[in-house]
Amino acid sequence: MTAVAHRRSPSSRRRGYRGIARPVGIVVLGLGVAILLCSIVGFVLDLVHPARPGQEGGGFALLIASVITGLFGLALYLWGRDHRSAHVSRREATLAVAAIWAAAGIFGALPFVIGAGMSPIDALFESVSGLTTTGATVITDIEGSMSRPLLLWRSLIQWLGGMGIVVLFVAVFPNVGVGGKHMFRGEVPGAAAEGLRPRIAETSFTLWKLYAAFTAILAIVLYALDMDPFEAVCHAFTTMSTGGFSTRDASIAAFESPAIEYTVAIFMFIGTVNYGLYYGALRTGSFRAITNNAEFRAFVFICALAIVVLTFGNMGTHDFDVLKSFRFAFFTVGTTISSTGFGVDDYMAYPEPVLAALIIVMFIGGCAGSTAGGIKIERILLMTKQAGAQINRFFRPNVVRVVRLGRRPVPPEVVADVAAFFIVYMLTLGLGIMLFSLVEAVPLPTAFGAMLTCLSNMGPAPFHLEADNFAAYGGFAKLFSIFAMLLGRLEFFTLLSLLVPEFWKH
Amino acid sequence: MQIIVIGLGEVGRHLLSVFDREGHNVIAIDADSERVIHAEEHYDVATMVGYGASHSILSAAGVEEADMLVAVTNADEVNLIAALAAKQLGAKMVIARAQGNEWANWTQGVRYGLLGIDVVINPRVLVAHELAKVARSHGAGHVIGFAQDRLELVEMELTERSRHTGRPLAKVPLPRQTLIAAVVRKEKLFIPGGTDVLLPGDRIYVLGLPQAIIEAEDLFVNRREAKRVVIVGGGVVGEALANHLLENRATVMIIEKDRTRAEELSAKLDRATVIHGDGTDLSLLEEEDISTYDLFAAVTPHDEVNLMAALLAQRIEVPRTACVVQRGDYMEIYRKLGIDIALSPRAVASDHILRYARTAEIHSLSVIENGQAEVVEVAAVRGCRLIGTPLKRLDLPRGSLIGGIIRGDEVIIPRGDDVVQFGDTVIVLATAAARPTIELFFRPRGK
Repeated sequence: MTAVAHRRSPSSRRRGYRGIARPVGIVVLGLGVAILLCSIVGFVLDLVHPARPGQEGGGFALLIASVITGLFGLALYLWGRDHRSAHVSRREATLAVAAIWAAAGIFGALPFVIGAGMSPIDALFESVSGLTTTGATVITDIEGSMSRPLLLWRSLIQWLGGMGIVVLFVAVFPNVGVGGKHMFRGEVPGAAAEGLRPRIAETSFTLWKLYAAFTAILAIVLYALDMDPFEAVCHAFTTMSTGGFSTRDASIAAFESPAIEYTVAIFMFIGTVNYGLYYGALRTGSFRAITNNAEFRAFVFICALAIVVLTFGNMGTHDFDVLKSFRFAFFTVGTTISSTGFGVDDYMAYPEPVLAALIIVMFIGGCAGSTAGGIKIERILLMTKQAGAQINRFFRPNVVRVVRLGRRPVPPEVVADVAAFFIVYMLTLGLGIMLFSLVEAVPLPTAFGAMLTCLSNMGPAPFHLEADNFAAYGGFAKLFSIFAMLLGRLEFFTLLSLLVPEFWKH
Repeated sequence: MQIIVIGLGEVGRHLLSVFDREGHNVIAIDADSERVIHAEEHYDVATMVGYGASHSILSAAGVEEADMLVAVTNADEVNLIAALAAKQLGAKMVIARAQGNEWANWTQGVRYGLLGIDVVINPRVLVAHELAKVARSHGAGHVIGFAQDRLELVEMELTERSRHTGRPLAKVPLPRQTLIAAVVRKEKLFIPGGTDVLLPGDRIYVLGLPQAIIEAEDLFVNRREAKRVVIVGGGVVGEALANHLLENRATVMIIEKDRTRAEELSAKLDRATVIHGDGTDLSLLEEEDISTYDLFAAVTPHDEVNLMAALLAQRIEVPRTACVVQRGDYMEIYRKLGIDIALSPRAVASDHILRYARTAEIHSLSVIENGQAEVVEVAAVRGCRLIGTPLKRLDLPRGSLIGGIIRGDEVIIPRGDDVVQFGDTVIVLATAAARPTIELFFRPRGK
């Protein structure tokens, strides 16, 4: 009868910590089920499909891991079950997202510890690298040391992390209300992916449906191109999530098939585009929704430019064969801009200016609202335009220039937000390079490459030493890289707000 | 339902909170980005910044697929144009709020089909209508009508002087055709059973037939129908209230500050006494012998004036005081200060609009006590669990109550042995916790 605004009960703060146990518990329980599925697939595969040497068995190890994970999840869920708050604040949601990612990282590592006897830190690195779709690895012999269910798990966590575990949670448990929206934002910052559907649960569900559909199509196409069905599924998972884990040591190059390379490259490009645009195209039945988008146009422009640079810049390394050079350029630009990290080519052999171009692409990353990492094209566009406006204002102080994206004017707060993001990104990168070279005594470019690959969730590290993986680094460097990958995936603010003292004060 | 809300003032926000809770798909539009950000932060809705009546904004919001569009900005013209445009673009139902009375003659607070808009509501006139109902009651603070006012839910506050406090409800000689639907104690609402005891300070909701309700009011609060009413403020609310009261043959005195407006009123309402003066002027109130009146209603657009005038009237010992409140969040304070009736046009408007956001079976929906409970009118559809079993064996969830059965012209206040039949309309009160479970009873089996 009365229009009194929502009142918070005084106990909602105390409930905060225990209140997040429920969502975290559900996610951990879900991970347990996912591990169980991998284990079952392992058992079935052993019956019907002979394994390559070194990849037999593994089902039991995952079964154990799944039981442990499931029990932990159940306990957490039961502990927090009666502590659901009616109104989930931004703060609680931020905490929940951070806790979900921490828990997913830890329990995602369990199969690696039990199944492959990896050290806890190595397993955590592998797990977080998967969930954040980075794709950097500490495993030196993938083909020889990993069982099939474990390989599947390694691909599956990448797939789950690609569109986002929190987004999946919000999609499957729709009754989280506005708290779901806050959680969604904690995992997918920026407004781009929102607004597909009025309610956040439906938005999340739509995103996952599109994502799953693309993945299924890719798996079928890869299978049709003579890839082993098990490997087709694994690569579909890691391609659509733009993650980059492969079941082979030599990555996609191991298949020696240009058709597979082109297919994977095309789907990596698809995964780099804002999923909201696909939904718009489906809804309106016209590709205009995609092609009219300013960010998409910039994306196409950047890709085209990079492909041209790589094709002609690398003629020398590819026997002056334009087609061959184009094929490698197409794939390499796709894997870099989407931050997937599959390899077909040794980019360290590229001429320096071409390598520089590739590193710039690595910085930029994909479109907002996609599974790709990096700074994101939308932010780059906004900042470039803002910089242009500032330069104009320098010699014509009275000129009025509103920054626009497409036809839509961008509010100054959003521009400020993007500028803050950029500063934080650069500071973290700089600090990271310093710390990395402090603990690892590697050349500065190597430290730069390692940090950049973690922050942009890319995978391969430019300027790496002997092997392109993290196996040789010490525990501290690995832990530090784990944090950097999480920072990059959650786009800084969610995790950094946990480091602000005021967050914990009331 | 797909709902578009234009204008995110108090009414708009309140609508968003209820629509969000009910699980509707809502797109909220306002020209002020601050308000849009507020909505974005607090409700699970999509938002847009822009002029709500513009074609491009409406199309972008998907108006052609919208089941309902509600235009509640502060500008009547924007609301009307937005509603008209939406109707033409294919929205199923459009509702606009109007606040002025210059362009239409408002005798009712709600107009259907005016200018081709499904529902146009004038909250000020609606508030006057509610106030008139309260004036006719014997001490209710709020009256909600159901089934074309054939059934009423009234709220009253028990005091130290109220009879029948301190004894079990089963022993209270309630008139037939009424029941105590809910008790609010310390801001918490519950549905009482026969062993519960009423205490002074409780507020109770009584459901029943209008004539029987009056008897029930006499049981607890025992005040007279307001036959002599002072109205402070001769605006839209004041004029509409005076009209209602005069129809009921009450004596009405209007105090209006503006001379021209006072003269205008005097010309329009020839049976009312119109005084030119300030309602917060103590000497004027004493001079006009306010204490001989039954009800003092302060209905100017200014909250401070209304509150001050009502407090003065309370000091002069007018039996009942009523205030119109613009800011809904201040409602509690008015009750604490001893103002008997506080009504907000915005709350009344949003409550009214909510009645139209319903599924096929639900005829209307009223929210009470800030959403602690809802009263819904539902049709008993074929095959639903309500039908055919005596109510006492239905195993209804705790916190829910079947308060009335409407069967053709007959209105039944049910007891445990009554049975709902196909074609009946049922009035159900349910707390927020019981709502999901009770809904299962309305749906056809197997769905």
